[in-house]
Amino acid sequence: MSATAGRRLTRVLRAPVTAAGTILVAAYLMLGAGGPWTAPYDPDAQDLGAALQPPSPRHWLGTDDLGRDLASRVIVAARVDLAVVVLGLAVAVGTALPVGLVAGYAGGTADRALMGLSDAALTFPSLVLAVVLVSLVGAGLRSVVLALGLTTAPALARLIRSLVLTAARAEYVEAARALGAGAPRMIWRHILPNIAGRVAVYMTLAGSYAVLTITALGFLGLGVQPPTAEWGNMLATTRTYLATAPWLIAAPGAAIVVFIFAVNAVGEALRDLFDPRLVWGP
Amino acid sequence: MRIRAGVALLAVLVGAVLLLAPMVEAQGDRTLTYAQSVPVTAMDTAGPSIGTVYPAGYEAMYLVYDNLVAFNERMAIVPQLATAWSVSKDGLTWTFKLRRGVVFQDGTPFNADAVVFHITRQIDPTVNPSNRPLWDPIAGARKVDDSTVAITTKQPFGALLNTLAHASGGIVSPAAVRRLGDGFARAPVGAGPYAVERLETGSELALRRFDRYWGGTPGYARVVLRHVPDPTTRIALLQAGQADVINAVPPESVPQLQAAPDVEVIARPALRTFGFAFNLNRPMFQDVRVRQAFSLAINRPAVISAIFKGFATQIDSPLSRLTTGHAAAGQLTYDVSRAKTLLAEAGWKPGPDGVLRRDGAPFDISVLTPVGLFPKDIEVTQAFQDFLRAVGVRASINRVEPAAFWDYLRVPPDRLRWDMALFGFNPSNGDGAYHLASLFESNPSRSEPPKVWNFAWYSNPKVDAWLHQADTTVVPAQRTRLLAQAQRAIWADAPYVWLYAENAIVAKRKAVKDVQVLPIVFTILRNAKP
Repeated sequence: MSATAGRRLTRVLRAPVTAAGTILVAAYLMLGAGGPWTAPYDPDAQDLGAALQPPSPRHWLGTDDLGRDLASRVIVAARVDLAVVVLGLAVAVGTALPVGLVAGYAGGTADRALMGLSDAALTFPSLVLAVVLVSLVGAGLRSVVLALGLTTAPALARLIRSLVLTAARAEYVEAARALGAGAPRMIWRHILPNIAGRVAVYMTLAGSYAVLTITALGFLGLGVQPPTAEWGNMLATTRTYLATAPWLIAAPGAAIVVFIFAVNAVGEALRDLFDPRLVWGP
Repeated sequence: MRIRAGVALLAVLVGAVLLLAPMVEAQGDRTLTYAQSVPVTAMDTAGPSIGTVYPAGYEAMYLVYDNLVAFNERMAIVPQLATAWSVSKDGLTWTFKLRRGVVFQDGTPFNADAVVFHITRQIDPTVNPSNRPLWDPIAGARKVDDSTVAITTKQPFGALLNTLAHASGGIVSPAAVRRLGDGFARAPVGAGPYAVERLETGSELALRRFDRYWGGTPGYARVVLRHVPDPTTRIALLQAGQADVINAVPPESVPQLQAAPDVEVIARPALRTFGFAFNLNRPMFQDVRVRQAFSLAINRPAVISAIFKGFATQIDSPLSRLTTGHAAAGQLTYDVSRAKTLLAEAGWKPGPDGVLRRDGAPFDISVLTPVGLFPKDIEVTQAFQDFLRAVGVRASINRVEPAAFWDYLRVPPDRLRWDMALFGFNPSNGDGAYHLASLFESNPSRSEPPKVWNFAWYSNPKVDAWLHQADTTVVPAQRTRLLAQAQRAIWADAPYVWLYAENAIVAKRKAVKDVQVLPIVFTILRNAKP
């Protein structure tokens, strides 16, 4: 890493919002990775006699309608939600990258055909498209991953195409071409490394939308199914308790809000880091 | 100056509207709005019950139609369009005296011909494929004179009055049926207090007062039945005064509603009993000790108090205590160590991971549950899963959409894709023989779906015989004795893990009087008044 890039990174990280976001994202990732091992209780163990207890030293976030420890459920739900985000985005990249590269690099008929397809997909609101996909395939973890990937892919493919178009006209790429580099080498060595940063920024921001999509599907009963804890379905199954046990809604709700804030903070910082138009002082 | 005049005019207009609005109301133009958890789709008394979403369609039918006889709030039979009745010595012929001077909402007269038309239509399975156990025992109806009808049964039929009081016993206008044909289900005509004004299938049914109703002027000018699937929205509508009556109140919302000054909660024990049915075709459920052990593993008082906040009732028979013919058959107890012993006796020993095994195979079962069809269905199934885990049985939950649920049950035995299924049956005619026959009478053929709801594929020839005898006797004491025998035998065979009887929870504005909630979980609004 060059001295300038290092300075940039330090500067970006020093902004309090970014620092907070980074720490929070790291915390979520650790909780998610830890899953059941970081949870104070077995998230599925019920104790009907201790149902709907408010937050206390024993149960930090209280207990739910079946007497399960809410903190433990929010933590294992983080694992589920993050796993779906990561897998869903992997599906999105896996679909969008080849499409975007071919469209941008080859151009012509291939470009028009592929972009026509992605434009058609973009005309649907993504949540509606996700609902349709899940209804066709059937609710569950796998279909949510699929729905998330396929609704994120079209916009990503367009972004990649436009980045490839710009990169392919850059002087260093033309220089490489003049030296006789073939298409695979051009893409692999010269284009991909130059668009990776911008794609990463986009993916981070897409991650926060992804959480909203997953939890919305869960809330509608189309996402990850109970008894597997997931923030959206936790909200859905307990919302009738709003008046009597508000902590049931507050805990998964806060988990979603804080996560989206943190991811956006990190995404903004990454954008600053990779945006070539931003002028950096000495 | 001009602006000021305009403002003044506007103020006068607004003032006039505000003053006049309550006057219009006071003249009896009031509307009663009922927010229902399920939509009204069709209201024909005959026709496939699949199209009638339960209980909304039946509740609408009780507003549009009058029956020969009706249920009161204690499920006793009271006169409606029949004023008196008698049964012949051999128990085969029932004679009904009809109320005179009654007209249908289309102006045609109600008389013996209409009753004969109605009965003939209901008992024809090609016209009316639903509610067959209620109508099959009837042979026919005959006009004696203009206001007398004789109904004959194939064998003595003790529950005839229950059938006639059932929602499908609502008497249709023969003229309207002939005129409308298939369209009748969406624009039905009866002799009840409210006539159909407009049906928007799946969302709203608007009814208007029938001014020539024989029982006096109905309490409201209009009754609107609106489908509001979300319980929190129903509660919000009630509290905001945009709904006057709501049904299917979640137990946890009762305290919130009781605290509201102008709202009243009606909660009462109901006839629908719940349980997890065993798929008795599965090898692991052949041993009755296994089935008993499952039952012993469930802490029902904890389920009732934690999940239902006390709004459910313990049961001591497959029937609710309020069902006609109920007899106590035994106690449901919670005894984990006894459950483990019974499972061990049946050859199921815990492996190193605590999961029971027999011949090396772990005890894994799948439990089918609808989501949002029965009160607290998914919560109860999760609790069940955890109780089974405590005795070493691994249950996986198979959730299905309410509309798809029936398709998982109504298939031949070799196509059943579940080991246990949550089910609740409501004997909507209030009769225990109907309840027991629907769930436990042997199915005629193993290559066809169950005849009614015996998807557990339970079969006990003795139970079949007792139920048949009970069906063909009109002497109440004898019926009760036969049904008691059947209940005890079924209870001992344990084809279900029985759970509880539900409580119907309805809430209304205090200003609305005489809302009836029947134990068959129907909210009856025909007598409601401001």
